[in-house]
Amino acid sequence: MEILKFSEEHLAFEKRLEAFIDFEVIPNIQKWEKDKIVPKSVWRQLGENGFLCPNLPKKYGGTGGDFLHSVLVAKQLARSNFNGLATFIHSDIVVPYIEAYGTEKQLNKYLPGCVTGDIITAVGMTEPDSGSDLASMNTTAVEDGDSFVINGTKTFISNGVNCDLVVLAAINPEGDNPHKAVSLFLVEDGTKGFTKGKPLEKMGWKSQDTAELFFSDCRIPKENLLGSQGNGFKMLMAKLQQERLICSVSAMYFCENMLKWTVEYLKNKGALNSQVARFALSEMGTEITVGNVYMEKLVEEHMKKESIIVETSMGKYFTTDLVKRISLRCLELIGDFGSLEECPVARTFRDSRITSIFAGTNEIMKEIIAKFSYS
Amino acid sequence: MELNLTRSQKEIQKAATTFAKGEFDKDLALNLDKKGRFPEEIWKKAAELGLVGIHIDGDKELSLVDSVIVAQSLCAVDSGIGSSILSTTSGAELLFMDGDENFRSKYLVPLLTGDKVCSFAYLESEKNLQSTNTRAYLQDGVVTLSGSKLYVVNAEIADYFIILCLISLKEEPSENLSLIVVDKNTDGINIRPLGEKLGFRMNPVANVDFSEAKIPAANILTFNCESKLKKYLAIDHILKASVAIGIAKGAFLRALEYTKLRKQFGTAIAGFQVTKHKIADMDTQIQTANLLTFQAAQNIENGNYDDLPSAQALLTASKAAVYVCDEAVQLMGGYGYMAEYDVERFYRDAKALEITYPSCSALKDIIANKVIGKIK
Repeated sequence: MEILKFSEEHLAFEKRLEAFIDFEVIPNIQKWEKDKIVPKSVWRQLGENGFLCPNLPKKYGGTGGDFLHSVLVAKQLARSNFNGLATFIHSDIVVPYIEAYGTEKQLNKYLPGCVTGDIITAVGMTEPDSGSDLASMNTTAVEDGDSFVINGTKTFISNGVNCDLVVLAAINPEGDNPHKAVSLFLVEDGTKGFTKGKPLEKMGWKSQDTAELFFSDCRIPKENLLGSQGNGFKMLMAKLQQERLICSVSAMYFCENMLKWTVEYLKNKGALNSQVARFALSEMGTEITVGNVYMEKLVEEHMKKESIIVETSMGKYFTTDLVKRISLRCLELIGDFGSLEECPVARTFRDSRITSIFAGTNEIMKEIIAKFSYS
Repeated sequence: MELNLTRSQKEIQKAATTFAKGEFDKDLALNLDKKGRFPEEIWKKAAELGLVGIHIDGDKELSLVDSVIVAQSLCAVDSGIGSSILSTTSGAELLFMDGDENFRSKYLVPLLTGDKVCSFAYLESEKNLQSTNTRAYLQDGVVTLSGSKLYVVNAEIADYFIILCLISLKEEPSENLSLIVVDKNTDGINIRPLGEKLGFRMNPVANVDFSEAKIPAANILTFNCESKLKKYLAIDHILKASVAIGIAKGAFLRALEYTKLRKQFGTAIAGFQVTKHKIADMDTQIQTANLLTFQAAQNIENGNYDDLPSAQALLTASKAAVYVCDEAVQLMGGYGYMAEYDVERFYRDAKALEITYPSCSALKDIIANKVIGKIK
């Protein structure tokens, strides 16, 4: 039932990544989860090996791969059952804004560092009072001579502590229509007036340094405007397709891993003689197989540069809901052992619960689907 | 919806809620959950107020509804601290039902006064209690106990265990499923902690091994305990259901408050039709579970220990708790995922309650056996 065709080169890439995950990531997960952050040195190691931004062109230091490389990164990170090292937020969500909308100067300045891991990126959209309703944001950017002055607070920002560069959405307070007043800015770590909070305590993604970002009279040069002024909302919307797609890809690999682990566990316990267990596994296996075909089809269409906003929204809703349901159900089958953190599905349950909330809640996905399909 | 509570039950409800709101510090709860520590001081205060084992008041029958009310009230304010307080009397009803004056004064009273913690160690297989392999033999007034118990909640903080085991007498070769009280400082006990937990992190859990532990024969609580055990499990299911309902209520109230305050697209999100209907579903499930649980508790107060209503109450309540907490997290969005906003912890606790013994599958077996009866 596989749709995606991986080349020899893809498979060699995956094999190298697999070894990296086994030796450099998996042994350290517990420590990083306790520390609530993954050291920056790991990002640089990933960069050295070509695992960051794998589809950036060679002229910016990339390896010139395609989106299938990103799919394989998601697959291997899912195999590690670990969500702290959220490289896909950097490689497939934030850096594409720079690549798509940056000036040649910005591209040359930032992209090579994004590939090597010297520059870790984050995107600042969500605010304490502005989540699903992005247009209600309060972070302002005011022109002043040859700079913009930024004020406001962003929250739930992934890579928020580690980030060296933020793609920041801010609004022009003078603008009449908020949808036409949002612009994107590149804010470097260390800029005066830009400070970061501590990693937030969360249900899962324990070693992902999700944090608040504070901007207080933060002055950035005008050349750090990304794309054209007032076009921020459009740019964000345009790039959300890939963001949501990579969420689906990751969710499906987590589903597969959980089911595989649960089957093994039940088998070893001799619990497969339970008809209820067999039916539950069959139902989950069916849903995962159907979901995988859809996810792979989305990847294929996306790689053909098709606009698949509705289909991607459907995928994001379906797969992130599925990963949650699979985790809940596997835990039920596993029983008492599932109540211990030693059980890998316990972590997947905690980690996967955010996926139907971030990158656009599933409520927003349903509004998008309805708006484009049923109105 | 208000149930028909008696005046004294209403007073208990008020006292428990007032106590919990006054004592269950939010930062403390976050910290205890993070570090996996038991809320010792608050437990002692709860016992001083008479909230620990409130249904065991010396009368002939248990006033179980009182504990249903206390469990719900405490857990709604904080699922972790609330359930920890309730966990300290695990097995106490067995001491009440079968213990003579000696047992009661030595082992039951210290639980109610908050001086000691008891842990009922029964599980050896995750599936049922029928596979007990922990064995003991009685000789010259001493019981020698060997075997292992799994997932013993509070093993590390307990002062004594009630152990489900097979006891054989010298003169009687057949083995009796029995209960024996074992002090923790007895030689031959090895406690193996099971590490971090998904939920109920304030209550450490461990496997406990007994290797030729010597216990005075006077500590045998019940010979041939099968019918007593069944009664106990009916009580235990109702208390667990009450914890689940408390968790659900706590998450529900937090989400409800949030949706009324949180404004997006120019309106409180409680105004959206889908949010409204979610809230309707959440409240309906809580009320349904509540009714079943109260009815099951009243049955027991009337001396009817039928295990069908208690299993149905627990099945409904634990499913409701997972559902309600899951929706609470979703309604609260990113905040729902943050420890500071509590509901993620309630959700983990609800899920842990649902998957640990007795699992939904075990409860459905009890229910199905009763409903279907004998097949010709």
